[in-house]
Amino acid sequence: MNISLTAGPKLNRIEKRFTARDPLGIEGVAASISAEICPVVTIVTPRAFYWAFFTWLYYDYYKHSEKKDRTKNKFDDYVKRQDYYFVLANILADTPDRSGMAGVRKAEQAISKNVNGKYLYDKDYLSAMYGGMQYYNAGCIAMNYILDRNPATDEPYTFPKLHKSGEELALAFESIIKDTEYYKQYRLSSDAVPESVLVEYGKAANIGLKGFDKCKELLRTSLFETKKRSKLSESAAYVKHLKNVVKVQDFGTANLRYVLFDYFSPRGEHHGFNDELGIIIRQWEIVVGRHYFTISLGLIFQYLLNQLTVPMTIDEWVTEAFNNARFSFDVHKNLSSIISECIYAHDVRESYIGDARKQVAPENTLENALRLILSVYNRFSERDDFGEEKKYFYYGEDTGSVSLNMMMEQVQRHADGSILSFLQYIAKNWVIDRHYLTSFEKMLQERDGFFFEIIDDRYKARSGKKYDVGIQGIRLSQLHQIMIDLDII
Amino acid sequence: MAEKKERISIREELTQSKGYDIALLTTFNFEIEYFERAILNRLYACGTRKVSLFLDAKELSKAIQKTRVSGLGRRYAVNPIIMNATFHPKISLLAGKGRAKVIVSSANIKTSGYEINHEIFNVFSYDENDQRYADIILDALEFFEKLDQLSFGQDSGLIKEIRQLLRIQSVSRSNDVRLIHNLNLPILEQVISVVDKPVDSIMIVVPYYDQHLSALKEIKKEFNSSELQLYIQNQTSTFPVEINAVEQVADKIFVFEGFRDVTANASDNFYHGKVFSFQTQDGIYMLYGSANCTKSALLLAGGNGGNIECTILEKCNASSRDAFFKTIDVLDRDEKHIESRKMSYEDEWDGCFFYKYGEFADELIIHIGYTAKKQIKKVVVNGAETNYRHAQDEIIIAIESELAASIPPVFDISVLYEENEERFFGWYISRYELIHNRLSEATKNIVIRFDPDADSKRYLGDTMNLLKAYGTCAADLLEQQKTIAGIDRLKSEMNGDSVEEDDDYIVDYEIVDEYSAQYRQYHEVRRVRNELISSFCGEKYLSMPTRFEHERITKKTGGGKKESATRHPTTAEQRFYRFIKAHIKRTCESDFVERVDTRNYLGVVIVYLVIFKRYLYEEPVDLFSPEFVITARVDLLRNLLLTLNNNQQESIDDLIRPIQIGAIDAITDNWKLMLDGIEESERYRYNSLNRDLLLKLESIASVRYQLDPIIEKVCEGKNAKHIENDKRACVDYLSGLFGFMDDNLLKQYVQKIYGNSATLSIDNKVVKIQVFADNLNDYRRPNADLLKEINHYSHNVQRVSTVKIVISAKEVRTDISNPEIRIIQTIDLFYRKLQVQSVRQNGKIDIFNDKRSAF
Repeated sequence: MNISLTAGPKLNRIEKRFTARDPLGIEGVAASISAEICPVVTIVTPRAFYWAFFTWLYYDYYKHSEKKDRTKNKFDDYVKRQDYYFVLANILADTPDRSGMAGVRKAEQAISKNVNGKYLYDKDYLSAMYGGMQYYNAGCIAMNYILDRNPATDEPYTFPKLHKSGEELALAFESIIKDTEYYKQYRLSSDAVPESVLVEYGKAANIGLKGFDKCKELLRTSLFETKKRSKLSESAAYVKHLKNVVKVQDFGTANLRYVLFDYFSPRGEHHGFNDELGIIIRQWEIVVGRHYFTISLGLIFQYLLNQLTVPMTIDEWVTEAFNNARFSFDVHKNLSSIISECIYAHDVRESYIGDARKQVAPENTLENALRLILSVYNRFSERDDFGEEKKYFYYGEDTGSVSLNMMMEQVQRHADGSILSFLQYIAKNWVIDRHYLTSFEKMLQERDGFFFEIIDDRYKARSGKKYDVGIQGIRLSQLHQIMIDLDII
Repeated sequence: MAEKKERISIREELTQSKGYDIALLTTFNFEIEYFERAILNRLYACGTRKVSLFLDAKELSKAIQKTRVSGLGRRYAVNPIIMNATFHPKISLLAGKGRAKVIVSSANIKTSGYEINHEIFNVFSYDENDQRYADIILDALEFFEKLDQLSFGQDSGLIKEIRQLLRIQSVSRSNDVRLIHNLNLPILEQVISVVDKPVDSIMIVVPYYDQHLSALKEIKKEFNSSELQLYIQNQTSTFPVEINAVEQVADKIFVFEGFRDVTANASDNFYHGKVFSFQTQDGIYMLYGSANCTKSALLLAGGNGGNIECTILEKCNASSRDAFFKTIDVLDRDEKHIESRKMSYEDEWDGCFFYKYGEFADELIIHIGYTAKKQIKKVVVNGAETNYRHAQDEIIIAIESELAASIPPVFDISVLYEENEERFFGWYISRYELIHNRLSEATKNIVIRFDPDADSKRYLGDTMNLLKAYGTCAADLLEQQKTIAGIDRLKSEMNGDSVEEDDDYIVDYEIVDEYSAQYRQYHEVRRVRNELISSFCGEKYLSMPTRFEHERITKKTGGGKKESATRHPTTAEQRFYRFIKAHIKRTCESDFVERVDTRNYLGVVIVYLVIFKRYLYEEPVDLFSPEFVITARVDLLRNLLLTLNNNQQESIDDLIRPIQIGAIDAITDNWKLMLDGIEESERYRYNSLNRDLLLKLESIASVRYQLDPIIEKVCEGKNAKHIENDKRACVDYLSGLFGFMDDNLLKQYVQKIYGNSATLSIDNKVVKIQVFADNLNDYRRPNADLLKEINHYSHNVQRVSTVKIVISAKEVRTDISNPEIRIIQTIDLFYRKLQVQSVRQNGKIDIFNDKRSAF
C-alpha cells in the first residue's frame, strides 16, 4: 500500500465493535477456576446432544465432501444448514424439550411465515461461526473426538480430523437418524424440505438424546470415566450429592449461589457432607465468593459511571461520587470498625446486588458493595479448612487482574485506615485504572470497551454507553442438565 | 447530508505498509505501552525496525513514570526536545529504498490519539512512479534534520540513511500542497504569504484556543474582510466563551457534539483535530495538522517562545472542504450554551535539574541539564552515589560497564544541592541492543528449534532468536503476559464463560492476526523451553556439562602471564557476544527476577549455560572470559533461586532438585578452580560468590543435610573425576561455607540425626544430648558432622568444652541377660578425645577411650 490521500484533511477511523463485557477484566478469574474444576462443560454447553451431533456433522461432512471443500467456511455453511433443520424439525415435531437449543426464535419466525409447508434453508439463520454449536466444538476437541492438530507434531491441521472414538460416536448417532427421509433425501441437498419430513426427523433427532443410548454410553465414558477428567467427576459427584442428599431442585445460578456458598461452609450454615466431597465443595465456594467480589467491583463501577456527568479529574470524580453517596457509618472511621459486622445471609447479599442493579437507592451502592467485599473477606480470611485449593486465591495475579488474595491483603493493609481511604483505593485502582487497562487490551484486539474518555487528564463519560453489572453463570447448572441427558441422575 | 465515506485508520496507514526500513515519528504526549504494543510491534512485523521518536522532554518524563519497564532505548530510540513551550508536531516519515511516506496529523501517539479521539490526518507517498509529493518528503526530512539538531543527535545516522535510501530530488515546488512548520517562521506568517487575499470566510475547528483569543484576533486582523466561523465541540473545547462574548471576535459559532459519519458508538468522542479553512476567490486553502488556534502555535516561531508545530497547507475545492465540515453534526444551539473547559496541563519543569539523555555503549554516559548553576553536594544514580563532571550547561556522569550493568533501563536520579534534593527519572539508549534489534534478519524465523550442536552461523542466529522470543527482561515479559492474558480472556469470552446464563451467548469475535501470531509463538517458545528443561533437568541437571577446566582455557606462560589458547572471534561472534552480555544483564535485573516464573527463567539460564559450554569448551573462542562466566553463572543461579518464590499457581517440585544440583555444581567448580591455584584476590572473590549462592540456596531450597547425595549427582552429571576423588573435602568445604548454627538450628540438627525425641541442652560449657534409641548399636560412635557443627558453635556462639551424648535404649532387651541400657559418649572438644561408657541393666559400667579422633 503506497497511496496518497489528498484533497484536504481526513478523519481518523475510530469505530470498533463495542463490548461491555467484563469491563474491569476480573471475570476471567472465576472462569479459569471453573474451567479447572469443571472442565469441558461450560455455561453455554448445556446439552450433551450437541457433542454427538457436532461430531457426526464432522464425520458426515468428511464422508461427502471433496478435499478442496474441507474449509472452515464451507463446513460452517453445512453445519448451519443442519442446525437449522434440526431446530425446525424439533419445533414442527412439537418436542417439549428445547432448553439450550439456539436459534429457536428465528426458526419459529420461519414457521410462522411459511406458506407452502416446504422449508428452504435460511442463510441468515445464525451469523456466528457454527451457529448454535460454536461452543461445543471445543468440547469435541477436549474429549478427543475431533483433532485440530497432529498429536505427534503438534502442527495444526488445515481442517480438523476425526478420531476413531469420534467416528464411533458419529456412527452411533447416525444409526438413529439414518432411516429418516431427511437423512436419506434432504440432508445433502439444497431442496426445500417438506414439513412432514422434518416432523419425522424431529421425532428421531431430539435434544434430550432419547433413544441415543449408545451415544450416551460413549459420552458418559468420555466425560466421567477417564482419569483426565477426574475433576469433572468430582463436580458430578457434588451435583449428585446436592440432588440426592440435599434434595436441591433448583439448579439455576441464583439458587446455586446459595447452595454452593452458604449451605456447607463453616462460615455459612455449615451442614455436614461426605469427606470425599470436601475439596470440591470448598473449590466451588471460592468460585462463588469470587463472583460476589466481581459483582461488588462491577457495582462500584456502575455507580461511578453514573456520577460522571461532566468531565472531571479522577480526584474530582471520586470526590463527587463519595459526596453523593450515602453511608450508614462514618466513612472517616477505621475500616476495622466495620469488618466484623459484614457477615450476611444469602438473601441480604442478594438484596444488595438486586437493589444496586435495579438502581433502587443508588446512593447506597458504595456502602453495599463495600459490605459485600468485606463479607467475602470474612468468608475466606484465616480459614484453616482450606488446603491446596487456597491456590485459587492467587488466581489473576499473573494476568494483572485483582486476586482474592490481593483483596484480602488490601483489607488488612487498610484496616487501620479510614473506610473512605479504602473505598478510594478500590475506586481508583481496582475500578477506574483497571477499566482503562482492560479496555486498552480490548482495543489492541480491535474492540472498543471504553466507558470513558480521558481528555487532558479529565475523565468524560462516553455518551450512550450504559453499563449494567452482569452476573456470571455457574457451570454446575449446565453439568446438572448434562447429567440428566446422559441418565446419570 | 454529507456523503458517508469510510474513514481510514492512522495506525493502519502507519503500520501496515511493507518496504519501509525506517520510521521517524514525533509526538507531544506519549503513552509508552500503546506505542510499543500497537505501533512498534506492527512496524517491526512489517520490517520497519529502525524507529526513532522525537518528543517533548517533559512528556517523555511523565510517560516513563507511568511505564518504567519498556523497550525504550532498546527497540527504538527516543530524542527528547527540551524547550520552554511545547514540542507539538505530529508527523511521521517512513522511508525505504526508493519510497517514502509522510503522515501529518493531529494525533499524539497514545491510545486516545490513535484509537478514540476524532483526529485529522493526511498521507503523502513517494516512489519512483509517483513523485508528486517529493517536496513534502524533502521538507519532512529537513524538518527531522532540524529536530535532530535541537535534540541530542543520538540517532542522526538514521536521517543520513534516509537520504541514501531515497536519493530524492526536488521537483517543481507546488503551491497546492506544502508542509509548513514553524522552526523558522510563525505558521500564520507563512499562511498569509500563500493565501491570496481577500479571504471571504474562515472556518476553524480546533479544540484549543489561547485564553485571550490572541491568535483568533490576529487572524481576524490579517483577513479583516472575512467572516470568522468557529465550530466548537461542547464540553471539550477550551474556547473562552466570556472573552468572546465581550470582544465579539468570532462572527458565527456552531456548536457540535459529534460527527455524522460514524455511528453513535463513537460519534461524540473528543475531537482533537485542528483544521482551518480560508475561502478566497481563487479557491480554498486548508491548514491542518498539529497547530491549534493559540498564540504559541500560530503567532510565534518555535524556539522563539512558540511551540514547535507541523501542518499541511493545501489548496482544495469546495467539495473537499465540505466533505470534511459537513460531517460535523452541528447542534441547534447558540454560543451562549457552550460549556467550555479550562486546560489542566502542568508543563513546567518544577526544579533546577532535568534529565537530558543517556547512552550505554562501552560505558553508560548520562547527561543532566540545569537551569541555574548550583553547588552540588551529591549525585545519586540508582541508589549509588556517583562521580560527575561539569560540562557546558550540564553535568555528565560516566559509569563503567560492569556497574552500569546493574542499572535498569529507567532509573532514579537524585541531585542534592544546597538545602535541596531533586529527584527524577533517567533512561538510556542501549546502543548494542538497539543496533541488534534494528537488524533486518532478526525479523525472520523467530525460534522454532534450538539445536545446541548446530553449525556456528545457524547457532548464533537461532540462539539470539530464541532469547528474543523468550523475553529476557521485564518489559518483554510483561508484554508477553498481557498479550496472553488478553487472548485467554477473549477465548474465555468466546467460550461463553463471562456471560450471564440468560444472556445472548453468541460471540463472534476473531482474534486479530498479530495477536494470533504472538500467541502461537508464545506456545512454540514454551514447547521449546519445556524440551530444554526436560533434557537438562532430566539428565544433565543444571551443570556445566564438562569440567570447568581453567587451564584449558588459559595457559600460563613462564612469566605467569595468561596466554589465550582460543581462537579469535568473528565479527558475527563479537556481535553475538555483545547481544548475550546485554541479555544476561537484563535477565539479572530485579524487575525481571521479581516477575518471571521459575520455568521461564530456567529456560533462559539453560540457554546461557549451553552458550558458555560451547564457546569455552567445545569450540573455544576468545569471547566469554572465565571470570565473566563464573560471575554470570552464580548470578543467574542465585536469581533462579529467587524466582522460586514467584510460582503460586504452578507446581515446581520437579525443578527443585535440578536447581539444587546446578547450584552446588557451580560452587564446586569454583572451589576446584580455587584449589588449582589462583591469585589470593580471586580466591576471595570466588569464595564470596560461593557463600552467597550457597546461603541463598539454603534459605530457599535447603541443601545443608543433603550434601552427600547432591555431590554424588554432580559427579554423575558431568563425570567429574576431580570431585569424585575428593568428595569428602568438597562436602567439608561446603559445610564450612555455611558458617555456624545457632541454638535452634543446632537443636534441629540433633533431632535430624537422633530423631525428634532427642533433646539438647547447653550449660556451663557442656552440651548435653539426650537420645532414646531402638537399637543402641546404631549410635556407637558420635556423629562427626554434629561434632563439627558444635565446634563451629563453640567458636562463634558460646564456648563449649565437652559434648555429652546420652543414648538410652527405648526398651530393655529380654532375650539376653544383663542387657546394655545406656551409652554415654563424652567428647572433649579441645583434645578431640572420646570416652564411651556402656551402662548395663545391673548397673555395670564399661568404660573405654577411643583412640581415634572423635571427628
